[in-house]
Amino acid sequence: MIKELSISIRTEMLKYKRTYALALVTLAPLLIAGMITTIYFFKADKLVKPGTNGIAGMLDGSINSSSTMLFTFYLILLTILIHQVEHRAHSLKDLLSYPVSYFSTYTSKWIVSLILVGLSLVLYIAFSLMGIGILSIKHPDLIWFDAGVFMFFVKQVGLVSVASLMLMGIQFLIALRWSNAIVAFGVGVVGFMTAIILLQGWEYVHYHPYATGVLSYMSTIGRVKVATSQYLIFNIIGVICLYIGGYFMWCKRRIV
Amino acid sequence: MENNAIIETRNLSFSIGKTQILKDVSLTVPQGSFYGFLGPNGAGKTTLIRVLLNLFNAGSNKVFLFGEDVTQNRVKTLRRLGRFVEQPSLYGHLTGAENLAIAQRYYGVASSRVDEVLNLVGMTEYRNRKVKAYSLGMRQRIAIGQALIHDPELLILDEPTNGLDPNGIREIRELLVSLNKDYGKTIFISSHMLSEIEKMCTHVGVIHHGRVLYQGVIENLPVMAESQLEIKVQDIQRALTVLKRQGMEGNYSHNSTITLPVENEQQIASVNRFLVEDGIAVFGLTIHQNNLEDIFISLTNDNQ
Repeated sequence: MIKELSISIRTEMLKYKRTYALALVTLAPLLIAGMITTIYFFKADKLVKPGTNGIAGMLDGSINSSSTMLFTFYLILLTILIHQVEHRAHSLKDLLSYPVSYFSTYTSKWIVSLILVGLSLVLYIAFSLMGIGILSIKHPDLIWFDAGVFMFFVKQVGLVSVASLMLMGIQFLIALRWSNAIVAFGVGVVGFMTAIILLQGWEYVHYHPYATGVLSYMSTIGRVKVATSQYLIFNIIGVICLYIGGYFMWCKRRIV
Repeated sequence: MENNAIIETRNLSFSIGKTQILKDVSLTVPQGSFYGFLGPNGAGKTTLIRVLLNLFNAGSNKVFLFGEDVTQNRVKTLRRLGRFVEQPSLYGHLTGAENLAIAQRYYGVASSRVDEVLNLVGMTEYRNRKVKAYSLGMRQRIAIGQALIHDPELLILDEPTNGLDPNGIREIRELLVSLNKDYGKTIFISSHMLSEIEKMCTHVGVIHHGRVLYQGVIENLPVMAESQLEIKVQDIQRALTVLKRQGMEGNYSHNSTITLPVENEQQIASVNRFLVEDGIAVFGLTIHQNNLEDIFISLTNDNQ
């Protein structure tokens, strides 16, 4: 089973060669880190108080905008692009008639999606680090590398990602089930908008899968009293349930 | 089950929603045969193929491939067959070779098979071109190549010549005939193109409104075995009387022509002798063999 799964993952990876999904994985983190770096490159003297290290403000600005909006839309778009590769080729009927178990074909799609998201996060951290390097050369008196601040940023990125797993799982299954990208995008937008509205004060917003990402970020900076671990546990359990439910959907699927 | 049946369905019925697509279908495809599965659009051909490939689950003890129940042995049976369902499902952003590499990996065969199959389907020259730049014919070849990548015993092909130009149809036909005759592959091909089936197949099954109307070797088709003899004579009435006396029921057709069903060449010679011996001038004898189209129309009209 492991060998079959490994073959499925390698084959799945081949399908994403030269796709928009792969382009998004590399360009989105470059864009976010690049924009923050550009702002500080030209405006560091106005944004950073003399004598202080601007790295904390710079990284917080980056993770703040990412966790509140960009990461949500990134996941919505990425899951759509991943499954559109199959939908556009009308190849689900072929995929399900290869001599490979449903478990392998289904699980490999999850694993490859997680690998792509993980790769994107690693690139985001790497590009941010490069940005700090560039800024520390341009503004050595305003921005310099601080390992403690940077590791806190890395931790925040990790927490927001895990706390967004359920959102990713929902979008993954919808984009897999419906070949029309509008359906997945529409559900994503509705999920995001309701989360933003409910964040204004609904007491159960901590269980809204589209809000837990931003809430986990807020908890790391003390703006929310709920422990970060609660969001993590909620999302991990949620995504496992989605994975199992999706598996049954995959096995019962009729390709018309 | 027949000993040499490579595909067998037993009283298979299948519905999508409230619509019954297949009705009590019992199909037997012998090993080594080139089986043409004929039917008009919407007859249930593609649904049956999807059931054979377990894309639609029709329940256990209904569909057997290589003597094994497909629902119980899905992976095992799929490993021994190659398939082409309805249209080429290829990744447009990948090259032809990369599309074949996907199938090669799933079937777990050596990567050298990609080049061999490209050569077999005549696509070596275009191996590094993206599929989105291919013509339909080229896509069909790659899709057939995917079906052949693991050198399967059985090929299940759903209208593989759809949309091809006459040259493309001929090339695919020659390839399939060679796979059947030279390499011993059993081929199950669905089509609504009667002329194609007639040129390629050893066996035929006819489906209409979800029911199988006929299956067996082509030559044994009830009307196929029968030919019509057209006899052009001087005196129609006398000729009809002579034939009637010999126990033959001819029909007056047109232009001094009588049509008469005959089963073999000996019978044709006898007809000619009877007429000539009775002093009737015979101007011409023409044999008109029923083609598959006539048979198909006859079978489907009978079952409207």
